[in-house]
Amino acid sequence: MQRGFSLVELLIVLSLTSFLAVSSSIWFISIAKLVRAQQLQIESNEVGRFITSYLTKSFARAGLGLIDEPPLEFEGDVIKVRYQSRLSVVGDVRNCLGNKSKTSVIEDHFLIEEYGYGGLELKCISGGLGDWLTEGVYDLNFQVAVDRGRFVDDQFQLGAFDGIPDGYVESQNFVPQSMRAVALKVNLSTYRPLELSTFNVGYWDEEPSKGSVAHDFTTLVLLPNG
Amino acid sequence: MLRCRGLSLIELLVALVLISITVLGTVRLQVASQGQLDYALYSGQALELIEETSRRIHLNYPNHLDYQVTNLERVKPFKCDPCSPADLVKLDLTHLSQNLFAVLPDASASIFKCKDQMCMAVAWAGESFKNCHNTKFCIERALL
Repeated sequence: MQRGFSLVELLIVLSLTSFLAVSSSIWFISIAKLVRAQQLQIESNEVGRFITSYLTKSFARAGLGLIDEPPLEFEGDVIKVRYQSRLSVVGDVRNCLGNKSKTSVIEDHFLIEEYGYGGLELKCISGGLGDWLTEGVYDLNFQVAVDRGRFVDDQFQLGAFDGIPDGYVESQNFVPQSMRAVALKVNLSTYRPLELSTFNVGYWDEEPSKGSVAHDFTTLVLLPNG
Repeated sequence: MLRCRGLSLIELLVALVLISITVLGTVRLQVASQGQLDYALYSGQALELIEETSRRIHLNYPNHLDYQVTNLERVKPFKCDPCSPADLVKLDLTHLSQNLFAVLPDASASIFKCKDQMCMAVAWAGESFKNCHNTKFCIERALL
């Protein structure tokens, strides 16, 4: 004679199964969150490394082949980098968008601005065209290592450039007419939002919100032609 | 007559141990993965700091020997304008110290002369640069 399960047995099995299902769900959700946070860290780190490496390459060209024009200029939040478009040794030099220039001097503009999804992007404008390089930039500012003169017997002689910086000035205080830029300190903050806004799906907040992943990067770019 | 027997206590315990091992293994995997991720980030930051130090010394090369520091500590902000080459050394070390403690947890660093060049060791996560060859959380590189 075969007997089925009693109601009590069924209830016990049901409650045990429910308990297991709930605990494994919580466990899976927490692991999924951790994986997501790790992914954001990787992305934020990647954005930071990409931008610092990209700007290092771009800024190192400032002043290449130029004689009279200032290699660097700061106008508000825009940094302008100038260099010759054709050099006898390497031929055509491409601008920050990867295009050849029709003019003899290339002027690349770098800025961060809000883009369609609410966050901030690093943008490059050159030769009348512009394109975004990457999103997820929270802050980007520069300090310029300037050479304004030299020290002789503890006396500072203004205008006698020696290639050794005699201070760092904020980019907005940089005057290309009276200072030589020998290096540029790049301070960059990147972030990735942990969760997208509930009300604007796909839109980013302008600043890192609670739970988002942010990283600070700093690098010093030498300007051999500054 | 067909007799149905339930699971024995031993069988249940074995199942429980196996499930626990699986859960603990997954948790440990996640923790290790997070550790590797942090390591990748911090070692990148440490290398960037070493590169920055190298560039700063390159800019002030006549005074490169003055950059030697046994233990780069937290220092008060230093200002100079215009900065003499000696002041620039102090200013650079101040900036480097600020960067070091801003980007790396429990960090320590040293700039020293090694053979004919300058070297830098950067340690983090509570490790000491003195023990750089025996720990994963330390990087030592030649600067010039």
